[in-house]
Amino acid sequence: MNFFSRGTLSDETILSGIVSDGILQRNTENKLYEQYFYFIKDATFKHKILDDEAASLYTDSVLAFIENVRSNRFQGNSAVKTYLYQIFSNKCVDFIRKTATNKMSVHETESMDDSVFMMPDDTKNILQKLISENEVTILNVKVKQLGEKCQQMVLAWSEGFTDNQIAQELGYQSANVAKNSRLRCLDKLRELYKS
Amino acid sequence: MLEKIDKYFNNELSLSERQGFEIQLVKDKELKENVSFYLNTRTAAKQLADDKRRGEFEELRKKISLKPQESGKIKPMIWLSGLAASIVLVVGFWWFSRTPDLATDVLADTYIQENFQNLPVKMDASADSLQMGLRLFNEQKLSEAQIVFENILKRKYSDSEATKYAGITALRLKNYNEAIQYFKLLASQKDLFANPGKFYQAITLLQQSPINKKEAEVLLKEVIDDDLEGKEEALKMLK
Repeated sequence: MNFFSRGTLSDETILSGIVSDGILQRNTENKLYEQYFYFIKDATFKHKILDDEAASLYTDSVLAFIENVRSNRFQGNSAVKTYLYQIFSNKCVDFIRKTATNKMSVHETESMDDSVFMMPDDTKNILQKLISENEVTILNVKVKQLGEKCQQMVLAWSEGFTDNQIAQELGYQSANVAKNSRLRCLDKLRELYKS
Repeated sequence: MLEKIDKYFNNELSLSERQGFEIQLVKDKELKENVSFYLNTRTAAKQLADDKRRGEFEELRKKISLKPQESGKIKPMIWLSGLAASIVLVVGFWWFSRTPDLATDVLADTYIQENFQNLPVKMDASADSLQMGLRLFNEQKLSEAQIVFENILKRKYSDSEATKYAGITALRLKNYNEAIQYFKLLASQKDLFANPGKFYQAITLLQQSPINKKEAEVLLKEVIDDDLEGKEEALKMLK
């Protein structure tokens, strides 16, 4: 990975950094955030929105971009800058439209679990019904009650990290050990949830 | 049961097992409840992970916003455009010539975070001061660790290990000038088998604001030419 070729990270470096592990991944994401930070200023001029609003939309756009890269939804058919700008621009337009009709929190919508989309239609319908906003809110609180290591593990799993990556990041001997620990954490969470 | 659900969502079941799972899901209430728990947990955890990252980005935003930036309203007067273009050229040239690659500090950051979070401690629980300092460092009690290393240096000013760790601790505490001083002292010790003093100086310079890239590059080149500790990393950085 050539970090020194230019003043900014290349698309290739950004994409490989996002799917790497630990510190390098975090640093790459932070640099990505920094690299296109000027989008915020552009949006305040172009869309006449407040700096804080633009910043919040920009953060959501970066998070969406990262998720798309990790889940292979970004195929590299366009430049990172173009793709990120498209996401950001859509969010800004959406925000303005919703604000104008007094429907706020446009960018706080519940996102459907990616894996559900890939299921056969019949199963997808059943699974969609099983996802409940109320349950998510309760579990949100319960996850915070887990021990630190379990919490880290469950959050990493939710972000799409493999057991192998989790093992490396959290210092487990193998992916299998990490997987067993993760399932034990989920068991613990279920007990908390039922109590 | 969670294991089977996990395998289903990770595509680790055979086709027949998948089909069996989907048929069972329609009629088995317990399986349904468990799948519901699994999916809701992942959604909840993802929200928490995103919130955490949002907070980190917000911190980053504050940091970026604190950096001096050009400000002022856009003046639509045409006669000013020539002047503005000249200023942009001058500022641009100045900025380009003094601002280091963004990626330079990524690599320096990464090196520091990978190598200076935990320092090697002897497993024999020895009570000597250096080991005590290292244990404090690893417990992230950096200021206390620094006091221990400084006390060693008060007793024995040329202790290379204490000098090195005092420098690393100062670097972690973001006392960059102090860190550079320690690393200069370390680099000046000629009788060491492996001396990372110059390399550490270079990465400290890359942490400072404004980053002193030119001086860091000179040091990195010396590390390579003199075959010093940190040569491999220096080669990557100057690639």
